[in-house]
Amino acid sequence: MLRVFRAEVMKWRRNWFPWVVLASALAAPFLVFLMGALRSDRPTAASLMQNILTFHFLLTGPLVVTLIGAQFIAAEYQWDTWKLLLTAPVPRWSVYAAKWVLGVVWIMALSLLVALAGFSAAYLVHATGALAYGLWLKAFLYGSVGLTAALSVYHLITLISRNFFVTSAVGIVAAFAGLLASQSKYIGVYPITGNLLIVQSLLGRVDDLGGVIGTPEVWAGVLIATALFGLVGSLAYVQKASYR
Amino acid sequence: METVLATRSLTKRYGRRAVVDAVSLNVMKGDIYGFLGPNGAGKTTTLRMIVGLVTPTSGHVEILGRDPSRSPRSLMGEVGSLIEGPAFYPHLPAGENLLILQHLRRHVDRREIEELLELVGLADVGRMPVDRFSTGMKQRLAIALALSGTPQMLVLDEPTNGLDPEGFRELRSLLRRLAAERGVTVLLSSHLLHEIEQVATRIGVISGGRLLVEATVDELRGQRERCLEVVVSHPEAAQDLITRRLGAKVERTGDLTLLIRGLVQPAEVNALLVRNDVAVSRLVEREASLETIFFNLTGGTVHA
Repeated sequence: MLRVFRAEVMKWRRNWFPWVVLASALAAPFLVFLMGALRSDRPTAASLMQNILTFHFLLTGPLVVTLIGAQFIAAEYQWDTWKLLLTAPVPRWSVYAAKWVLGVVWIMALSLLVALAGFSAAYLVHATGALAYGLWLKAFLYGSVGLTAALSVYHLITLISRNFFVTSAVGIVAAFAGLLASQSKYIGVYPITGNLLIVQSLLGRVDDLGGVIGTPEVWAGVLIATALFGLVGSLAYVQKASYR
Repeated sequence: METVLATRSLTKRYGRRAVVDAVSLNVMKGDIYGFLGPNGAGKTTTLRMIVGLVTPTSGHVEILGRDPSRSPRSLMGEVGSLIEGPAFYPHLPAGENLLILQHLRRHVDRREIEELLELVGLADVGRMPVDRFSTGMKQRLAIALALSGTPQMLVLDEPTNGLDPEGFRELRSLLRRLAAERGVTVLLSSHLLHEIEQVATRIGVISGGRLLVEATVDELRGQRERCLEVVVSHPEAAQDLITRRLGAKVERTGDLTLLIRGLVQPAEVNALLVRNDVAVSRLVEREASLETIFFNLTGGTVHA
C-alpha cells in the first residue's frame, strides 16, 4: 500500500494541477486580506479569521474537493493509465485507497495552509485583538476532515462518468446548493454546511440554532454516511472495473 | 516445453455477440507468438482478458499453470503488457514513469531503470517529458515499462502501430534480443502478416472471434498448397472441364488465366484441355504463399 501511495504522489510532480488547487484554496485568505487592506478601519483578527473560515469551508474548500476528487480519477482516463494501474500486481482496492488517502492528506494540508495564510493576512493588515492560534488551527483541522466527506463521492461520480467536467458541474452545483442551505433550517444536514456548523460549534460561535434540523451527532453522522457511501461505491467499482 | 500462458475456451460475449469464442492459445517458454487476425477479429479483447483488464464470460487463463483470477495479484508481476497503445504520465520524464511503475510492481531498482532505457535506446533522453517524445520513442518506452520488474512474459497488442519501417526494424531486433538474451516469452498481436512472419516463432490466427489455426511458422510453411496456373484459349470451357472431370477447385485470376488447386498432375490437365480443343499457351506449377494461406483462413482480411 505504501508503494502504491508513493507512486500516486510521484505522478503529480511537474504537473500544473497542484498549483491550480493551491491557488484555488488560497483564494479565501487572499480575498479576505484584500477586503481588510482596503477598509479604512482595522478589522479584528478574530473576524478576519472567521470570514476566511466561512469562505473556505462554505465555498472554496468544497470546490477544491471537487477538483481533487475529479482530477485524481479523470486524469487516469485522460492519460489512458488506468490499464497500468489495473494490470499492476497489487490489489485493486489499494490503487483506489492510495488515491483517497492522498486526497485526504492534500485537503487537510491545504486547509491548514489556508489557516496559516489567514494568520499572515491578519498580521499584514494589522488586525486588532489577540488570536487563539491553537483553537483556529484546530477548527481548520476538524473542518478539513469534514471537507473530505464528499471526496469519495466525487471519485465515484468520476469513475462512472469518466469525465472531469461532469464531476466539476456536480461539485459546483453542490457548493452553491450549500450556500442556499446555509440560509435555511437544513444547514445542519447538508454535508458541506453541516461541516461548517460543526466547526462553528467548536469555536463556540453557533449563536442561534433555533429551528435548525439535527444535532452535532446527526451532522457528523451525515458526513460519515456521505464518505462511506462514496468509499464503498468507489472501491466496489474499481474492484469490478473492466477496461473498455 | 513449459507452457507460460494458456487460455482454455476463453470466451467474451457482449450481449448475444461472441467477440471471442472459445479461444484456446498455448504459448510456450521462449516463444515469440504472433497473434494474427484482421481488425475486429477479437485479438485485443483476448489480450485484455489475459492481462485481467476484462473478465471472461467463460473459460479461463493460465499463467505459469495458475489461474490469475484465483491467485494472488503478484502473479501478474510475471506479465508485462502493452495494450492498445502506450500509456504513461506525459508530463514526467521516462525515468520517472519507470519509477512509478516499479513502485506499483513493488520492485524499485534505479539501476534497472538505466538498463531498461539503455535497452530500448532511450538512455539519452534525460529529463525530457514524455509528451515531447516521437511516436517511436513512446512505443519503445512502453516496451521498457512492460519490461519493468523483469516479467517472464510480454503481452504486446499491435506494438508497431505508428512506427515507421526503421522503428519496426528496431522493435523486431529488440524482441529477438529479449527472447534470446533474457528468455522473455512474447505474445505479440498484429493484423499485418509480414510483421508477424518476420519475427514470430509460432503463430495463432484468429478471425471472427475464433482461433483458426495455431502452429509454428515452419509448420505453416510446410502446409503450403501446390497449385497450377494455366493460360488457355477458352477459360470458361476449361474451368468447366477441370472441375467436372478432375474434381479440382478452379479460380479465374485473369482474362485467360486459371488457378487450379488440389492434387492434379500438369500432364493430366494439359491432355484433358487439348483433347477438348482448348489451347494451352502456358502451364506453371506454383506454391501458395503464406499470405494466400492466411487469406484463405481469414476470408481475405489479413493484410500482407
